[in-house]
Amino acid sequence: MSGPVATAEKAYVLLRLGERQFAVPAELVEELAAAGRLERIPHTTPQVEGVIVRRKRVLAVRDVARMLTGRALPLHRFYLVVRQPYGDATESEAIPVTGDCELLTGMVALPRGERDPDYVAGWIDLSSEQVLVLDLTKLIAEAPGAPAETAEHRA
Amino acid sequence: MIAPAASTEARATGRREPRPVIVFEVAGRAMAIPAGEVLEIRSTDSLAGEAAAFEPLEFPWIRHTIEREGTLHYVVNLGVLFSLARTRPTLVLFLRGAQCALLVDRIERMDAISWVFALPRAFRGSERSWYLGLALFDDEVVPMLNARGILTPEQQAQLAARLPETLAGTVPA
Repeated sequence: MSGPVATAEKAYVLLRLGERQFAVPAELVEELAAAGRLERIPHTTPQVEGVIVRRKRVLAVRDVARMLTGRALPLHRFYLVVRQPYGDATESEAIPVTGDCELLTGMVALPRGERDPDYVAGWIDLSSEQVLVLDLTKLIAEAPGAPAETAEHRA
Repeated sequence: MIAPAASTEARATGRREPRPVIVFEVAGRAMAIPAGEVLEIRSTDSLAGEAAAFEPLEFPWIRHTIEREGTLHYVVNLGVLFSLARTRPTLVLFLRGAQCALLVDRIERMDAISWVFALPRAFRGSERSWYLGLALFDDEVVPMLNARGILTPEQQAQLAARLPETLAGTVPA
């Protein structure tokens, strides 16, 4: 039986949600934007806070902090704008972050453990801690109230 | 018809003739609807004698029906439907070609718009039916209501099944 195999070298963006750090593949990140005016529209989708206008685009703001850390971010300083796949298409979305994002290059992620939730894509070993690499598509699929349609996107 | 853009990132191709929209307010929130979808606007006071009580338990945002031009309209309290703060609506917007009338607080203005942003795909709930998309007025994002999506065909069928006989005759087949 072979042991876990590390993935190839990639770049990751390290983001902070409250006291915890997470990583997402840098190829999915468009920009780090200063927090602008959050527009709340009536809706029934869990995890989505509202929308922001950014570069003449309307982006959904998805608060993943509550799901990952158990509490919403009372204050955030930036939005990390990421490309989120929806089937064959992608759409940009904004994730509120506390700040202090970093770009890590040449990193080799360790594979996810068997008991890790589906949204864990792997782990990055930093000197101070192991940082969870997020699979944003699966994270959204596991959000409360996510329809089966989302799971189909994962296939 | 105001066309939604192909995505949240792209405007509709080509220039379209600006179409009039009515911007109104519900519990302090601005919303809009294509003016062509509105048949009539009346004050709630002026309709006091015309509304019939109808309170289906599954639809707490409906408390009355009103007949207009031979068609029964379910009066939808948008503030309750959208879980906004309680207010006292002063106006009723009767919709053209839809079986509902909307209770709103006030008309803010008439405006014109050529296109709306498609609702971001992150939104997956009832809002996909409620809105045609999102309009941008001077950096203010305003949901553009879909007159035919406030009540889905399934909801209309459920409501029709619960109507008392005295009202059922005015529901279109």
